[in-house]
Amino acid sequence: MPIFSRWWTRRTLEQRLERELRDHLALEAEDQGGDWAAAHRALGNQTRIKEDTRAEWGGVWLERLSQDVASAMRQVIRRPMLSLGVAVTLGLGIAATTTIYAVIDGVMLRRLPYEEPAALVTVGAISGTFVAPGVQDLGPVSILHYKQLRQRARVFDALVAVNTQRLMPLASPDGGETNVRAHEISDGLFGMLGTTTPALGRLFLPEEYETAQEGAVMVTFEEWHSRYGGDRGIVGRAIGRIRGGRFPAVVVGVLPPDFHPLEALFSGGERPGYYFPRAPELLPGDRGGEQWYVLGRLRRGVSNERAQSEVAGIAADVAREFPHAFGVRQGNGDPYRLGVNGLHEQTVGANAQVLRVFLGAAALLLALAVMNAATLLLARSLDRVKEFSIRMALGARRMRIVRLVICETGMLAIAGGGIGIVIAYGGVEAFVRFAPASIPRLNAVAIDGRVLAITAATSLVTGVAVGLLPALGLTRWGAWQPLQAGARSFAEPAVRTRTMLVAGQIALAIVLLAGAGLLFNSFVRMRSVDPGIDVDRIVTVTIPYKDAAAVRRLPLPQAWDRLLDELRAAPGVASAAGTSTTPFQTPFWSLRARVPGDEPDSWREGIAGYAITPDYLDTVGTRLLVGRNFHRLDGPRSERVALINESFARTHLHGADPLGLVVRLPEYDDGLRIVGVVEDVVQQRAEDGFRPAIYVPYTQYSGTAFVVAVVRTARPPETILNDLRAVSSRLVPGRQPDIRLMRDMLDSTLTAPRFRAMLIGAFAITATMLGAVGLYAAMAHFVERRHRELGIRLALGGQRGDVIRLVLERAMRLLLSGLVIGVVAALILSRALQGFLFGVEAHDIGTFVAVVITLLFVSAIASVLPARRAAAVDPITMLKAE
Amino acid sequence: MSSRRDERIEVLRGTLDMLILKTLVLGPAHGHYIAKHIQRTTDDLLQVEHGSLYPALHRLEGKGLVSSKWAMANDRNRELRVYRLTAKGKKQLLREESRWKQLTEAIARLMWPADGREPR
Repeated sequence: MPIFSRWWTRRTLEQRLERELRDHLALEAEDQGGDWAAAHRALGNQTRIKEDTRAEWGGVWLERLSQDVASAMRQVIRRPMLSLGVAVTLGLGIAATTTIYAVIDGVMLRRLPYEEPAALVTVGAISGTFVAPGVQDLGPVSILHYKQLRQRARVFDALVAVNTQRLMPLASPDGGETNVRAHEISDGLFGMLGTTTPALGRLFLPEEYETAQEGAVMVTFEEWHSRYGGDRGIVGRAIGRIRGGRFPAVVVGVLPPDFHPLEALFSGGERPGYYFPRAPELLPGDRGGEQWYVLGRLRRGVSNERAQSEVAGIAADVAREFPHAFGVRQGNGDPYRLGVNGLHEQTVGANAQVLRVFLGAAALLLALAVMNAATLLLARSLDRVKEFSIRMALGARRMRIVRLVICETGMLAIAGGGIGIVIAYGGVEAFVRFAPASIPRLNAVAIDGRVLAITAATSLVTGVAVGLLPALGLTRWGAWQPLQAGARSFAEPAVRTRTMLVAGQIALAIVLLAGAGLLFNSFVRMRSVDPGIDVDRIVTVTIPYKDAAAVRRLPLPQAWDRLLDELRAAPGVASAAGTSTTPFQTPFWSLRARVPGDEPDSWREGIAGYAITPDYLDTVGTRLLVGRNFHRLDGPRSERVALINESFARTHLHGADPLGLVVRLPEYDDGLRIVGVVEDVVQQRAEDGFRPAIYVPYTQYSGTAFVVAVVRTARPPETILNDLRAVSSRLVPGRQPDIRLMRDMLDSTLTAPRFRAMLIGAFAITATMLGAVGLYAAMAHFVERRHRELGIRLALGGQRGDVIRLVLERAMRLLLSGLVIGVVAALILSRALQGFLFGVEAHDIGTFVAVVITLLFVSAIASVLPARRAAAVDPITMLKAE
Repeated sequence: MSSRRDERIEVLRGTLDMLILKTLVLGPAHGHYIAKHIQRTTDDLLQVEHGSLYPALHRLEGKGLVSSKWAMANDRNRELRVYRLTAKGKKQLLREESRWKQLTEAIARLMWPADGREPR
């Protein structure tokens, strides 16, 4: 339609059509003997004729859209507060979903930033626990295992090893040295990951892996920025010492950003800032307790399952062929089993579940925001029933009006999307800042094109969803009925729609409140668990005594005694005792045991083992319930004795008198005689509950290279940290002292549950506020529309209390259905939280009662305000206003 | 009038285009004349809804099958928008006519087979 498609002809076309129709009418009227009415009837609906004719002109779609947009814009601007309210409401919902989606995208969905990441795997020793459904926990392996895997495995294109336990003395500005974490990596890691070019300098040379003379070091991009301010002169500089301090550590290059392949295995841990090269295959296989994490790239077409079975077979062969080699067997004599995990699954680990819960909560909040916005708009749209009828009477088709309304809500949703993105930027920042360290790859979380695209789509869908209900509801009567009968009675079905919307909001608010309540309840309960030790005045000092020159060659008991004596002499120390594992950390010693009556080959698994000094229990404040404590006479050559905790007695002895019973461990030929029972102590996290544990005297144990000194302080613990650091540095020069407040360690175990409760709590509070606003809007509008009725009631002698009661009854009816639906939905959905609850059931009655009461209280406020206003107005004014 | 009205046939969209073109073969004409002419010549059997005439005229002009200008009408003493058949419109009309003829003949053969008798 080339003739009409030009915009400049539009005006002329309009004028021409106008005149043609006028002429037509005139001619027809002439023919009908001057009967203009008949002429009008013969011609038909002019508005529609014009619409249809314009449709033939072309370019009409665009024109109508721009008309709709302009008209929508007028509507939006005409009621700025309402529009702002709707946009902010939608913005909150969109912000919540955008934030969580950005996190999920960065943590879970995005590919790992390496070449063909799907084929990357970790290979490690199976501990028997699972980090997530289907993802087994994998630990490091011995050098022998690594060598044998390299020789025998056929499923890998590449296999590399990383030692994560290195510390590098780094020259600090004050002239001293601080120890920083460094990873020792084998040749091939960079190639396997597709890291071919560093950000600066060069990668390691092949020979640097083999020769021990060069102290070549690479710095991570992040460390380069945070510690060296991105100084390009760092390449070639000696920044510290390496290899036991014998060689200067010279920087050869800076790694590209986001190079953290080992995060899969250390999501909770500190990231290394430095890498240095090593060829583990050249090391003797029996070297010390060195443990290497192994990463590999599967050959094309090899499945995880095939790799898994091959690796398991190799582990079994190695155990058979090298029965006495170091690191082949676990403490209990069983050979290590090896397993394979996808690097991506391992990295995401246990976080998939919690992030899904977060996303679900955000989606609920968005749904609530949509309902809320629809409620607010519906109140206004009800007043527009007449307008729509007139439009339709004048020839507008129903779809045109529906489109007009959706255009309006679409614009509001786009504004909401804009607000949402702004809030989401803050939200993502807050999330990354407060999230527990166990969530990996948080540095990859960002609001980027992908996230924005999802947000834009969400906004548009939201806009349509918000507009559809009012639009369809308000146009269903066509042109005439509302005009004849007055809009009021025709608004009733729309009022019913709004009732449903408000009930829906109440229900969603209840679901979120219940979730937040359960998580908060769990958190409080976790925090109030008696950890079994006094956390307030205890400081732990971890000393690798094999590195302490003074005691390196002494047997464990004497070494511990010497080190503990040094600490006892420090100022401010009330007492100091030793243990093999600090509380709130993975027990170093996990053992199996048999109790009297057990078959010779049936072992009870999952028992934590602790070697302690006799004064340990008193120092940390763990109570001895029955029997006796260890004492000086429990020596290497006396009878082997043990203390058990309550959980052990309950779980494994079933109420039998434990004193004098003999427990057998694979480590010892003769058993351990139980001499006492101590109270339960939290092992890692309160949420795991108490677990069975066995304590043995340090004089009868030799399985650790560390002593964890627990120091009870006579003064506030913060004041003696420096003294303790000094002692530690004197005992083990060149080592970063590892000193922690027990209070901090306990707190860190609560970070994740606290974060979960806070996040869902923030959603729930937002949800409750929105629900209250929705209820308030509905009630306020209800009162407004019933002004006349209420005025008559008052004029006929009705009491103001009656009016308030009338309004409140109405509000209660709205509430009640929402409450019932919400509680039922919450009971169903709260099961998704099962894994995160502690001490409460998913259907905890107390929580649900509290939630319902909270909501009733908030709702009462939201509905009393309009009710009071209704009762306060002078009936005469009310009636006159009509 | 009402019984008569019931027998009127709504003019189909494509057919209306053809009827307009056919009317214009007789010479340029304005919208009202076209409507009346179609109604008159079909003995009021084909009811042209006046409203649908203008979209159709504008559509035909858009396709270049007719052209229009303001001109004095022959039958009325005033200036009206007068439509005129273009060469392209004439060709289109011939095509339409022969297609319509084929169609009606085919229908006629089906309805009244070769013996020419009326169907029962």
